[in-house]
Amino acid sequence: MISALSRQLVKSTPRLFLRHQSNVLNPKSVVFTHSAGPVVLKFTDQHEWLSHHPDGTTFVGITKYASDALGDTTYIELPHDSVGGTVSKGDVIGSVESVKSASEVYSPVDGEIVEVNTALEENPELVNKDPMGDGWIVKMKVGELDGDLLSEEDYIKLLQEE
Amino acid sequence: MIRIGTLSSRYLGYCRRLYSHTPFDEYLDFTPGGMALEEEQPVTVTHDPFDFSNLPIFKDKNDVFSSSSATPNRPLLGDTNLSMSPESVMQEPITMTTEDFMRKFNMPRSDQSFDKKKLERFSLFLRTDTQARQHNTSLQDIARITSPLMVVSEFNNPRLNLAIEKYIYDQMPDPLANARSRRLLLYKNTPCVVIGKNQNPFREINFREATIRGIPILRRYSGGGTVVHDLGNFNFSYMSSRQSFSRVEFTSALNNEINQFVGLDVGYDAPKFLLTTNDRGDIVNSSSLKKVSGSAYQISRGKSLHHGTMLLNSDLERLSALLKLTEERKASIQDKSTDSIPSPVENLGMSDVLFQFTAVEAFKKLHPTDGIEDMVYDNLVVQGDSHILKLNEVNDLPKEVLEIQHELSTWEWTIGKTPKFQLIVNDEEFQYQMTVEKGLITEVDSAEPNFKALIGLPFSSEKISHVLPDPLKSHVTWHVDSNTNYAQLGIS
Repeated sequence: MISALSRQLVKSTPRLFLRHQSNVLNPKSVVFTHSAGPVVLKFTDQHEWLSHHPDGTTFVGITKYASDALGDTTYIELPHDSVGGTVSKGDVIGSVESVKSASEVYSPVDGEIVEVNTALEENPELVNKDPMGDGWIVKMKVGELDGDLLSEEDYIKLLQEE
Repeated sequence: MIRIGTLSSRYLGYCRRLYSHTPFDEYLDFTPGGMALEEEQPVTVTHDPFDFSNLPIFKDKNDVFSSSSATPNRPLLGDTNLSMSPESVMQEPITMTTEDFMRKFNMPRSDQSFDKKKLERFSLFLRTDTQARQHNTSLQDIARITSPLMVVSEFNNPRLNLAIEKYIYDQMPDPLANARSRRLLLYKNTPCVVIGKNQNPFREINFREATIRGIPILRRYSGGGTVVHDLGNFNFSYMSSRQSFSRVEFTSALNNEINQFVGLDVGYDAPKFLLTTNDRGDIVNSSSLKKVSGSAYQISRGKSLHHGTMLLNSDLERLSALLKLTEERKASIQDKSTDSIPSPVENLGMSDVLFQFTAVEAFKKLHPTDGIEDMVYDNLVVQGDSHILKLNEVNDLPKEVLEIQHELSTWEWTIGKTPKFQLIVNDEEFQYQMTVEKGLITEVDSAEPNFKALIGLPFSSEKISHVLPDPLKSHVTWHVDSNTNYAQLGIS
């Protein structure tokens, strides 16, 4: 009983540790360095993250967990048509294709789409290499953040439940 | 390593119990050598995620039997999801029945290894003409039920079937809030070419060949590469939750069902060989490794869809010319769209009825019902809380399905959704380069001034021929789409 339990612990600890370590922003990327901060990092239950800066600029992408689960990205569909327009929370703002899966990406908040990350068109693998940094998908202008968004702690809890 | 076939009967007794369905609580009460357990009770055991062997291996039998780390959420490792990463294997609940286990290791089978009456009942349900009946259940009435639903479409129109698939997927209640919300759709199509969501048809399809034969071209909603369909190819769509998304959950269960019919005479053409799943989620012949079913996936809010194309008796040669492009053509189109990965393929040689039966049985094993006896309505079977709906009446389809079907036939969706690409032509006659975004020509680079007129026009020979003088016209229209007649491809 005890040996089995400890085996279970040994097995699960590194995974959780890794997840915890990797669901953070890349401090060298624009998603973090855009402003002097403070930068607010939030998550959704659809495995998106957002980094919200004091000037309202908000970067959105998919989490490290989602990018690992999907595998090698081959194509990113970006919302070119929506640049300059507003989107509502829950609207589809693109999709990520990897190993034959087309996975929809949803806007985590209401706001205006300011820019799409065109670097992903040439290098879709950025979503795997640096999902929470240079692999950002859209840049938005957002007012106050919704209370429904998940904190990092809540998101990790969600991953554990899944 | 111990090969199960060589185990002593005592070990075999353990294995049988391990692979049978024993509820966890009862399992704990089990003492080796004690009372015999009834078969078909669930058991769950934590498996070693790094154990990829094809056969059950018990490094230490005490370890297996005293393990209290067994929980209902960490079931026994099946033998059909071996090509996955260690982490995903850990999350894959796969169980195996005693029968499956015996079969896997060529143990002698009793005649009751499957219920022949069940197959006959299913076959009768498929054959029954519902059109003469009075009370057909409509898709709309049943699409939002929160329990498992299977749909057999008897339509063979590729766009209609794709529209039905999208409708069922969109209507399926979110599995996050409805844990039993699952769907299976089965259908086959008349000849057509289907490209993945993010593909460039000009780089995948021989438009000349498709035009001459009048083969429709479709763009689907899921990812992956280009496939040709005909009536010898059965499609399945397994819709599940995003949480439990797995590239092999359904194919593993389906392989288990199909494999039990290999070499069996049940009155229908049996599968010719055993199947297994590869790491891309494709179903392959377990000995030749040739592909028998390709897979494509779609992940949306709370949901996931796994689409497969099972080659039963497809005329593979006849359609292969549709995907053959000249080297010159391939080199002239440059983009970042998703590539198709051509693989050698093989027909399973199984009958349609038997395939549909195995798919339905696989679905029911993944989402068991409480075994209440079948009730058969006009076009509906109810088993416990799971339903099988048969569709063959256009009047039973909601109008949304027909709207999606129309959407799928538009040039804007099929061609216009093509990721940005460039056509580069450099021959003795003319040299030019065109950039195409959302199906429209956005940039042209050429010494020839007439090209300016193309900017803003659709990348379609039908739409640009009037602005170009000959001989430039015939040169360009050929290089654009081989003078395709889009109406011939079912595109409007």
